[in-house]
Amino acid sequence: MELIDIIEALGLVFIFLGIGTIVVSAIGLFKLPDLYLRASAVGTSAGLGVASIVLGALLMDFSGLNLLKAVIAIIAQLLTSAVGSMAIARAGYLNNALPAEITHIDELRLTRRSPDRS
Amino acid sequence: MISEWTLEVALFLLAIGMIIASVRGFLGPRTMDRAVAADLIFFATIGFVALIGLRTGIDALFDIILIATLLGFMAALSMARLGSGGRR
Amino acid sequence: MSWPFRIIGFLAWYAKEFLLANLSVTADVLRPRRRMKMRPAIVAVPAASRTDSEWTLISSLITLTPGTLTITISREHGILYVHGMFVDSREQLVAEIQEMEDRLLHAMRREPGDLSRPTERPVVRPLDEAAPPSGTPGASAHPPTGSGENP
Repeated sequence: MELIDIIEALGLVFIFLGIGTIVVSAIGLFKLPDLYLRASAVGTSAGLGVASIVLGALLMDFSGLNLLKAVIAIIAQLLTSAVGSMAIARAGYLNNALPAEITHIDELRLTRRSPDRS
Repeated sequence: MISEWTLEVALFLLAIGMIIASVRGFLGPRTMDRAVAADLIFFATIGFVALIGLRTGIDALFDIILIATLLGFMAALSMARLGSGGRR
Repeated sequence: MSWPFRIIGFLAWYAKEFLLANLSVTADVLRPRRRMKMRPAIVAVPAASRTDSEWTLISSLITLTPGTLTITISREHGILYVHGMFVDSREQLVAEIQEMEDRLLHAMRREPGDLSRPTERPVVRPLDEAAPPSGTPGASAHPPTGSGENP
């Protein structure tokens, strides 16, 4: 009984960690100035946020089959979220989304077309 | 269950995150900003499903999570395709 | 070390880097706007990858680490265009990415093989102009998602 309570509390800690990551990256969507920085901020919740929510749900509802499914889900999430955010960043580049002023080195600047076409 | 109300607090926090992200989706000056916001809303939805599944104790919870994480990037890919006008 | 152990070692190193990068990005988002430490930059990083799977893996791993993001790649020049969030100088980001790539290639390949990187900088031109087929990284690069993962 004691051990089960500890594991359940640990699961809650992981769930709140994941939710905190998602809320922080939602705040980051507002505070960060351009598309690439926003995609970086969403990357934290895509990797760590979802992974720790799934891990917390696993700890709160543990069984052997659930362990297998959760491990596959976490691996799939890590692989596919990288592909998704890379596709979004590349679409932004093809679409001439300019980096913000604060970007101090930009070695792709010469390949962009005129900046105000969308 | 020690965690009746903690799960509700978690759902509430997650809803706040989704609302913030959807405001960025409405404001977002360009298509790709909206796509990033929609991506974040999708990840929050996975969290929502997990929490509601824990709350009601359904059996198929991890199957749903597995399908969602396997197919979630298709949304991001198609939005990227939409934003870049078909160019890859 | 034999091959599976090298991969486990790489995964452990990558997990550490992943957690540290998550912490730094989260801390910087939570800082008030005036004291944010970020210095974003887009840098061309010469890469030593050769095969399709190496290109896909290195660009996915760079993107998965929060704070660095592969925007596009140019395979014939061997260049990764990486957007970094905390970049003090060009050399620092290039060193970070190349360290990750070195570790990945040492873990993936049975023998280290050819680790040389291109040294000359590619000539870049706007996408719209009728440029010669070599020289436009955006137009000629493969889609960075990698054909292996396309549905």
